[in-house]
Amino acid sequence: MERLLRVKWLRWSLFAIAATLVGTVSFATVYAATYSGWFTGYAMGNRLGYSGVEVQQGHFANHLPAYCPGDPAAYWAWGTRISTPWIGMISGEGWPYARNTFRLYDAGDTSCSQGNYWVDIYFGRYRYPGQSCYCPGVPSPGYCYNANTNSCDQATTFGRSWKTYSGP
Amino acid sequence: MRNKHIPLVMTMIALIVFLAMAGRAFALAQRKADGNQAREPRLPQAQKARPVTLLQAWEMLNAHAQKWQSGAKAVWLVSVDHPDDPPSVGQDGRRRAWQAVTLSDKMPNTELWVTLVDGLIAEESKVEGSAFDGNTPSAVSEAASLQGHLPMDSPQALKHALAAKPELGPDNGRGRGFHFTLESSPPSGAPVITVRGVYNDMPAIVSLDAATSTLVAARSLGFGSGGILYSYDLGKTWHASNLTGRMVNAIIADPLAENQAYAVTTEDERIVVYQTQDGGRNWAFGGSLPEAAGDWPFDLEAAIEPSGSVRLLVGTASGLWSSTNGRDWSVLAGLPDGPKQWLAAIHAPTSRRVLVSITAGANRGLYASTNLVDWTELTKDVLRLSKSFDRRTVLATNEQSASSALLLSVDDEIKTEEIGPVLRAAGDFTDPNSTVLQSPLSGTAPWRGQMPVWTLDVPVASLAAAPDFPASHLVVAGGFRSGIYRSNDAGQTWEQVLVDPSSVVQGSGEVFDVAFLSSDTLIAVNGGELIWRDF
Repeated sequence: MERLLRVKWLRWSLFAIAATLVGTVSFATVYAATYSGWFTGYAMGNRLGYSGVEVQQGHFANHLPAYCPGDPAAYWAWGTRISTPWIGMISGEGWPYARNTFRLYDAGDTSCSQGNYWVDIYFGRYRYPGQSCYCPGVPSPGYCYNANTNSCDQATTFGRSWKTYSGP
Repeated sequence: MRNKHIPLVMTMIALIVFLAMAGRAFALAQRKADGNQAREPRLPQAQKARPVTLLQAWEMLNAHAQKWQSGAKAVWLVSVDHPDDPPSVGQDGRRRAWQAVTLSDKMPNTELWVTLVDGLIAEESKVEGSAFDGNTPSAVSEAASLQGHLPMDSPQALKHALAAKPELGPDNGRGRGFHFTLESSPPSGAPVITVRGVYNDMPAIVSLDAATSTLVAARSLGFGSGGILYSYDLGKTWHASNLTGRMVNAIIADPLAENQAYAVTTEDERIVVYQTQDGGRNWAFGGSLPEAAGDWPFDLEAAIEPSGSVRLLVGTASGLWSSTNGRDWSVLAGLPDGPKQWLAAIHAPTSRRVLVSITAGANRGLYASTNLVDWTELTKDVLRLSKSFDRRTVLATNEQSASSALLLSVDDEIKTEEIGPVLRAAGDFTDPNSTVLQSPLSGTAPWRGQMPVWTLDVPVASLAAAPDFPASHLVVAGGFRSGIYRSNDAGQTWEQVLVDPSSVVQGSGEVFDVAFLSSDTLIAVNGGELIWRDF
């Protein structure tokens, strides 16, 4: 082996093969595609999302394959991560911050009215003490906590936005 | 092999591997360029399957948390699907993929999300500046209490859950098999293990106290509200019909009789048909589809038979169902398999044509028939179908691409150029000056055969034009959590006529269907809310 490595051509060939294999492995594990769709915002509502886990800031909903079989994103698994442009949110303590990753743990728009790759991002379940625990578009009565912000206001202000994002 | 040949052979191997890599890179670049065409979710294709229990995953993730920050702890753990999971997965309490949120006292505003696949960390990401809700002021101290109180693992949790609720079954949709979550339960903060599956084909959970194994909650998801609103005054004011408290999936006006219409609902795992004869105020049971039809109607259509009667059509995942009386239903043969999601019937004085959009699978595309026996594939594109005010033409549009809109009549189809991607349309499609479009990109506006000025910039879920549209120019838009709007100038200006449909009929606020039953009478659907209930 030592004698073989002394051959200049052979050294370069082995290096090329090794580098190529490393490159191939990297390609296999870093996989993402970009999508575009409407983003809407929601807050309060059910404590549990469609997946059965408690929805939190940083979670999102999209279509379900049973209701929207034509939407390729409807087949993504629970827990799927998407990367988005920075989206401002307010924590329960009242601090503004921004997120650019969201996880799939809820579903909605059962009529598929918002088109493929629709995303509904969750702004939390916060209200100021004494305010209504209601936010349009989510089951009533909602489920929420007293906090230093009202996340329904944030969802309403976010409204609707066409975004390009990356996912599986 | 002689030594002098070795460099040549090695170089050739390197070249072959390089070409393979270049090909893969090219395919990846193509896929990225196609973007929205990509469909399969991918977790990293890990080595040999190595499913682990909840406690094993918990220990692995907490060990990993220590590498991030000494003293950090996983505060929330949930199993997720792996692409290779069979529907039976989780029946032994083990899963291949788990996801956790990790917090540290030293970095109180940072969440570390970690995905574990086959016992290895597959992916992690940090969110800075936030605080995981965790339901408690101090999720980290909550995690400390979780650490000390986990006598039960997922196999035992599943056994206890099935003993308490034998009806709980494995899911076969999004979320295959049985899933497991470990979290703290509000308001006590006690650690709870939740088993997820299905009950009556809908998502269901059984939560157990992790320390005592006692049942904390058993809930399943179902539609709990929704229904039909009606207006007798051109859409200016809206009222509740008697068809409420249920998920109405679609409505259709009777093409032969003013103020008559049909609706399909999802009830008790069946598809049920209702009929109104008074402009949508009162609805009566009309019949139900066989169990084989399933419980989810995508769309409803009413076609005029050559005999002069009405044939109802319901599109489902199981087929295109047909009935001439609402009571007796059968599947129409001749259409290939696949979900029949969008339907439209268009009419000429002595003939009709039915269009069906199959939206997924090998047979996806647009199909047409004039006799409901022989079907022709018009295109392999998945197109949404919008009917003109007079039901004489359909604008079949691609919601993602501008390339393939079709204007269809009973005996003709014309490719329409430069219309852009369109979700839905209303008006007179033979005249661009009288067509209102909803772009998936921009909003709702008159088309006018040129770059539109978007006049309604709110999320819209439905559009309908009045039967006297050429004279009245009346269009109504059902909003997606944004109310109901009307325009009496063919979409140039809009007036919000109802701010909150749920103030009339409780529902999701997603008004995804609107229909004119006469020139002044309309009905609209407020979607159903998905609500968790005890079972």
